[in-house]
Order: sequence, then C-alpha cells, then structure tokens
Amino acid sequence: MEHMIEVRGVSFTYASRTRPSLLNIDLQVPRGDFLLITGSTGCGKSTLLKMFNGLIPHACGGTMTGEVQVRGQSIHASPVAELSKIVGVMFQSPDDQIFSATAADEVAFILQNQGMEAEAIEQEVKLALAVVGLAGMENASVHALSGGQKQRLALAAILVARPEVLVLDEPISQLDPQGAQELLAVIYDLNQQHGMTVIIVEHRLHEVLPLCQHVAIMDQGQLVWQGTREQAFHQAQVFVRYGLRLPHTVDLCRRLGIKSPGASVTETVAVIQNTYGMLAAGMVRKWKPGKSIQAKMPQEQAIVEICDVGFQYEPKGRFILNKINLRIFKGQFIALMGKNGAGKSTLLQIISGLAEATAGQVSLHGKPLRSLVPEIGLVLQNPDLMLFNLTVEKELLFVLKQRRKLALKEEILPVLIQNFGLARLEQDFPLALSRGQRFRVAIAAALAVQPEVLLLDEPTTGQDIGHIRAVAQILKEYVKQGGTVVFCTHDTEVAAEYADRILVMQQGDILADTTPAELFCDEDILQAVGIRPPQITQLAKLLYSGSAVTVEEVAAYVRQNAVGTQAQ
Amino acid sequence: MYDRTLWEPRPNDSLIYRMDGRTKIILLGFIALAAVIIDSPRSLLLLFWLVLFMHCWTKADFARWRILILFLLLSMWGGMVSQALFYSQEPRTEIACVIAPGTPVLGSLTGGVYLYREGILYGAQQALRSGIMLAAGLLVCWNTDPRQLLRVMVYWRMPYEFAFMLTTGMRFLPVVFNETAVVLTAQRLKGFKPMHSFSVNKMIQTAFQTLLPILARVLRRAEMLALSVESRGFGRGINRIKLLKWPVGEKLVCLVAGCLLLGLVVLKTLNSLQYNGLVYFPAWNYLYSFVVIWI
Repeated sequence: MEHMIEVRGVSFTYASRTRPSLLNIDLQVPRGDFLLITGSTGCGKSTLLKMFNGLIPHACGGTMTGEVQVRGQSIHASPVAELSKIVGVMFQSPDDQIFSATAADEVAFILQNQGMEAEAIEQEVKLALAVVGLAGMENASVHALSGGQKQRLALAAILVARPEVLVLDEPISQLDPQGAQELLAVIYDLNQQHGMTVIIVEHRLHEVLPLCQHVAIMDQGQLVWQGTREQAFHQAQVFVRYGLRLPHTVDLCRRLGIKSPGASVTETVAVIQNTYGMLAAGMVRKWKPGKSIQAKMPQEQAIVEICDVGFQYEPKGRFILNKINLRIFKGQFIALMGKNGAGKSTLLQIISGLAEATAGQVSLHGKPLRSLVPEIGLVLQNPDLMLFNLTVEKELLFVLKQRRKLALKEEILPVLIQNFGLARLEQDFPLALSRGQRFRVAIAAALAVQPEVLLLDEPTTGQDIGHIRAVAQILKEYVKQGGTVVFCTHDTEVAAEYADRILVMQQGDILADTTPAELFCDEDILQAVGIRPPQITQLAKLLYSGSAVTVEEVAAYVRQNAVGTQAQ
Repeated sequence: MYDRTLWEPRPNDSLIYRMDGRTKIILLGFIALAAVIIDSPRSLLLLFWLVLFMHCWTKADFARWRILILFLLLSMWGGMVSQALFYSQEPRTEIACVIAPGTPVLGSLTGGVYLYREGILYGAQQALRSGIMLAAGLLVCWNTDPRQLLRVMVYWRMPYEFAFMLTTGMRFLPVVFNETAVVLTAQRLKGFKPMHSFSVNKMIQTAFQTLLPILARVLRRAEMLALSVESRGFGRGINRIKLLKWPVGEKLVCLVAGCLLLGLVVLKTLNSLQYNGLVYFPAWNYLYSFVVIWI
C-alpha cells in the first residue's frame, strides 16, 4: 500500500527544552486514510503534526533525528511552501490563524501565495466556501462569523489549495456539539467522497472515533499504541490506561466484559441483548432511576436568588437576558448549557457581580448584590488571563492577600496544592505550565478564599478528559463540603456525569431547569437547543426505556436484570 | 475602548477600503512626510481636516469617532501644555505664571514656571502634526486587511520578518485591547484594587501584573499565526508574490501626491536658501511669501 506519510525513527527536542518532545516515532499513513492521533495534553501530538508540512524542522528551532517523508519526498529537502501544496494544516483556534478581514480574502491567501491568477482564484474561493457550507458568504467580515463558521472558514482556507492530506489539530475543541457535528461531517465527506487523507488530533474521541479508520495513541512523546478503529474498540483498556475518553457504547461493553461492536448504539443494544438474553425495550420492567439522577430539592433559603433579571449592553439594544428567575441552593452542582450566544456567560457575570443587571435583582443570602463579593468566585473562560504572578505559590496567595486573609495561608495553601496536584510546582512560573496545570492553578486561586459559590465559564474547553475528571472530582468534593458550583459547558457527557441540575438557555431565556436524566430524555427541548444527548442515554432508552445518564447506571442495570448469569 | 471590534478592520464599500494596498501605504507615507515638512499651522489644519474628512467618507461609527477624538484630544492637550510650559526659544511671551520665582522651595528650584504664548502655538503645531499621523494611521488600520499590507511589503522586497512583525502588530492590536479588559476583570475578581493607592510600587506592580499575561498570550498567538501563515505557503522562501493589477487611477493619485510632496520640498528648499542669503531671486518674492504663509 502506498504511504502518503511515513515517519521513521523520529525524535525531536525543542531548542528551549532539554527533554525530547518526540521519541522514536514510527508511523505510516496510507493514502485515503482517516487517522486519529490522541493522547493527554502535552504528549507531543501537535509537535508531530508540525512535521507533516515541514514546519519542523524548517520553521521551529530544535534538534531532529530520523526521517519524515510526504508522498516519498523528504521534508528536509522540501520547503514549507512546497509541502503546503500537498499537506494542509489547520490549527486549533481559528481566531489565532485567521488573518484577513473577509472570508474570501482569507481563503484566497494560499492560492495567491502559490501564484494563481486572480480570475481563477475567485472561482476556487467560491467552491471551497461552498464545500464547508459557507456559500454566499464571500464578503462577510470574519469577525461577524460564529465560532463554528470561523472554524469552517479556516478549513476552507486550507481546502482551497486541494491538498492531498488534511491535518487538523483539535478542530472541534471550541465548538458546541452542533458546530462540531457540522465540521466533522464536512471532514468525513472529504475523506469518503474525495479520498483525501485526514490526520486529526482530538481529545473528544467519542465524537471522532466513530469516523476514523486508524487510531494512534501518544504518551510522553512516544507512540504507545496504533491500530484500526475496530482494534481500538476491542482494546478499550488501552484508552483507559492512558486516561482517554471512550464512546459510551465501547465503555459499556468494556465494563460488561463483552466484545464491542463499535460506536453504534443500536448494534451495541443488540449485542447486549444477545449476550445477556435481555428482552427488547418495552418488554422489560421499567427501570426506576437511581438516587444519583434525582434532583436535590432543597427546602432552605437559596444562596443566590435571581428575580426578573434582564440585561442589555446598550439602553436600546437587544436583551441578552430576558427576565430570568432562578434560585441557586447550597451544595448544588449546576451545569449551564445552550448554544453560543444564548446568554450563559452574561448570566455568570451577573451572578458574580461583575456585570450589573439592567432590570430585576440578584440577591446573595437575601441581600441585594451590587458588586463583586468574596463569597462568589468566578473563573473566566481563558484561565491564562487570570494568572499574573511569577510563581504558583504567589498566584494562590495573591487573592488571600487582597482579601486580607493571609493569616489563613498555612491552613489553606497546602490543601490547595495537594488537592490540585500542584506539589513541586509551587515555585514554577504559572504561564509556563501545561494547559491542564494552568487551568488547575486558576481554579485553585479562585477557591483560595473559600467562596460559597464558584462559577466557571466553559471549564471543559480544550481540556482532555483526564484533566476534566481531575478537576470535576475536586469540585465534587468542594460541593460535598457545602460549596456550590455553576459551570457553563457544551459537553453533554460531562454535564450528565457531574451535574445534579442542568439549566438550558436559549436567546436569553431559561428554557429548562431540570435534572440531567429528565433533560436528556426530553427530545423536544434537545431539538430546540441543538443538544445531542449522551450516547448512553440513547442506549438506555433503546435497551430498557430507561433514563440513565452514566455508563455505570446502565452497566448496573444490565447486571441486575440480565436473564443469564454472565454479568461480571 | 476594550471592545476588539473597535480596532479591527471592517469590510465596507468605501473607496478607501477598496483601495490597493500600495496606494494606501504610499499615501500614508506622503501624508506623514507632508506633516513633517509643512510648518504653516493653517496648512497643517487643512491636512488634518482632509484626513478627518476621509474618516467621514468611510462612515466610521460613533464608537470609532469617540476613540479618535479621545486620542487626538489627549495628544493635542499633552503637546500644547508641555510646550507652553517648557518652551525655551526666544522671543517668548509670558501669558501666565504657574509658579512664581518667590514661591518657597519650588520657586527657587525652578526659577519660576510660566506659560508662554509661543509655546502654545508651537505645541499646537506639533500637536497637529502628531494628530495628522495618528488619524491617518487609524484610517489605514480600520480600513485595511493586514494581509494586504503584508503582501505589499513583501512584494516591495521588505525583509519578511520585518513585514510580518509590522502586520502582526496591527493584527493583534484589537486583541491586546480586548485581553487587557479581561485581565483587569480577572484582577477585580481577585479583589485587586490598584487605583486605591497611588504609590509608585503599586503602580509598577499593577503594570507588571497586567502586561505579563497579555504579553504571554500575544507571543503564543503570534507564533501560531506565523505557523498558520507559513503553512499556507507564505514565508521566508516566497518569491512569487503576485498582486492584483494596480488601478491606473490610483497610480495617478499617487503620482500627483508624489509631485505635490516634491513641490513642497523644492519650495521649502528655495525659501530656506533665500532666508539664509544663499540664493535669492527678487522676481520670486510672491513665491517666498506663499511659502511663508502656507508651507
């Protein structure tokens, strides 16, 4: 089989580092393949991608050994401009790579650099924009596009040159489920219909794994596992070992000790029914939801109470929030969901006292809230912008110092460092830490003053599931001790697994305020707000008309209700 | 001010937005040079109005006018006040006394501080110069795709690194303003109140703590942008920049502007020669008068 990309014994150490970022990598990518490269944050995935179009070694300083060939051509012998005709690379954040003012100009850039005539460029640009679903938006300002549209524009800016290989670095990490679905559909179509070789790096495996043909897992600069998608489904324990996310169907089969048929819900249901002799849905006794999915209905006074709150940026502008009414109780773990622009971040800012409502009132313990208070902490979407001290220790102490609580240092600091896994990093420069570590420092700093309510704006964006779970566990512990968490997220699986209450927002209104189990079974609401329920909820519904939201629940049900005795 | 859309170029149908990058850079350069060459306050004022008229032509919105006026007023006020206080050339006319020479300590230390009429006029002249450059610079920033400028600069054989640095600066200006607002918000969230104290230490600490995360982010973003641009075939090795045909009308405008600038230089030189008694033609007196009044 012809190899489109061949990597032989490659190691690479960045000029500024002593440890290699890649170590003895061997990888072959056949023509027309759809390869998923995954691994925890900082394992070297992005570094490997940079080799495919020669950014390493031509544009990034460091020491490289071994050989990388693209269509039989050594990357050492070909400049980036030449390799970019074969390999198109799309990076993670569209905001950081879009360079032009209009969509057409952005897409035309690569063709202009390749010396194409202006008349021909115009046609190609239109075609590329149509392929990604942006037809007719040639003259649109790039700033007027949504996050998903920007990501598709960045893809069109690569596709227009008709590369043979498409390399994508976490393309869906910042998209809501609907945006991610649309982008993945375009990529899958390019692979299937046009035979384009696709190499994708992604943490959201549950969304990409069903589409790919091959999978490669990296850990600490090494390629630790590679195989076909089917092999990956059958060796799910490898993913678990490296802290990676699995599709719910595969994870359930792993827990039940049966061979997974793949990511298909219906096939998995059939396999479980065959293996355990279970009856089809509707013929089994109705499953009663467990304690974990029952909403907490506290009787005491709410910590935060929001009455008829409205918000608009300009006096005659549109309402970002429309007469919101909400009560937040002690010990709740609340997920705030909805499409981009639904008003989630604005609501968090109003609860925190950062923004003032233009109508209605926010109360904390029954008293009107008009400014920032230490009782409510807020972690912004980009934690990097919340880190401004020279060491982790100073970062954690900063807020204590500002709130004149430095006396609590001895009591609080060791606990935070221990709980957030920051031991031996106390004297490190926070902005030089890995993404997951920076995120943990930002949350730890917010928790240093022990707020009663902690608000987090999109904490799951760009984080691998290991980091998400680590932080979620800490927050669960904080909730157990009486704290309250409200977080915005697009990740339905995280919301289902950790939240005990979900608020769904749409165009400034709260459309639903319910438990995860109820929400993910309500198809009308899900359809209205473009949320896809977790796979496991669909599976539970099909398997036993249940309303489970976690894999553990379904596994427990199958074990309890299996006709045979094969349950493990 | 922290809203990034205020600083980003907005596609519009004005002639200035649609102009070729070469025309924009050349005219910007000519306006800047003219502002340096011309000394006459009335001509400087005319040039200033011309640039503001061009802003009107692009239909700049209220928020942009507000920013422009704020920047212009600050720079003008700063220039005029500093020159009014510290003007050192003769003759100079005192119009007010700020610190009398007899004032204890300060009076003896400074020998008295006055406002000078000539200083105000000179300050106004300098302020107009800087105002013209500022307004023209913002006009180009708000109405030009950074990529257009980058391609022109490289086409003109400017070193790739330098061209990329200039355009990246322009590309990230809106982002920097936006992220400054986020950092200030984050500081507020952590209970930081820098304005509660005016100590030098506190101010240095605030500046450092505000700039540190912004700088780190901008460096990361700039690296990513550079990689993205290189991945799309643009880089050090590029040798095939093809620009769209330069419209004849715009070429003519540049030519006329170039001739005008050259005319300014010639007239200024002639006037300087006669002023210093080196070359004087009595028949050209009307020309010398024109230079004194208008240039």
